[in-house]
Amino acid sequence: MATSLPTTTPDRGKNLRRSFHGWAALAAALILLLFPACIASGGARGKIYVHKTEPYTIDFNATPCAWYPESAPSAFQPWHNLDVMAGCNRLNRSGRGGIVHLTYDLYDVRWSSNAIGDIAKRNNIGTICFADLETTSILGLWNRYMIHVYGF
Amino acid sequence: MRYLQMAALLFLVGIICTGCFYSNIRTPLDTNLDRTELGKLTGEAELHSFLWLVAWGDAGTAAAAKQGGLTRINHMDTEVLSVLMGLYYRQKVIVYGD
Repeated sequence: MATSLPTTTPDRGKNLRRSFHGWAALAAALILLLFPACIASGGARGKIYVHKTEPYTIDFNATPCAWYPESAPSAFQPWHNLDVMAGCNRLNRSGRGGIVHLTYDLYDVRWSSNAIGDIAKRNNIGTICFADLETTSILGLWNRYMIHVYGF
Repeated sequence: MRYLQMAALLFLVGIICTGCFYSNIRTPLDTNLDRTELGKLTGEAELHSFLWLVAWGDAGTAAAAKQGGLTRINHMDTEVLSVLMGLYYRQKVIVYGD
């Protein structure tokens, strides 16, 4: 009586595919864990272009604030004293700093100053009221972080 | 066994990525609340992000105060809307004062 030989051979390829799927699922879970967009508090992100302004200081207690007339200079002008004129009973001043950050692979270069004290002294701001942070980023390679200080 | 593994993975993702699919929340930014009076006026300013590629907007304190016509800021909150893990993201800053 002839013994029947097994008609199927172990499918090593199928086992490898199953193992790969398991590792791929684990990698996807880790990526989701590290994916910053999942966290609502992570902030607005853009891999190609970012130009946003956010509050930098958040401690307010009857804090006076300044209005800018519609003809205020744009953000790309060089540093100078921006005096607020119409609509305010007191002379309000503001100034801006700017740290430029270049990064590529292992190279990471930053320069300039965003120190609030430096900005205030440069723009004759005696009393600082609050500050905003303006971020500009292109492809994540060229980044500029500019602190706007408001006071009088 | 495969379906069990997928179910376990989905459960793990659901636990870790809380609020990933849809979030619309308001939280305080200013936590210095000692005898704070909100005031009569409010101002808002927004910034947006789309497809994780571009982000734009001015949600700074000055912009929000100007929108509401505030000359004195007493308190600040923020509202965040996030859809599909940040596919569309909007952050709104709300200032209170007079």
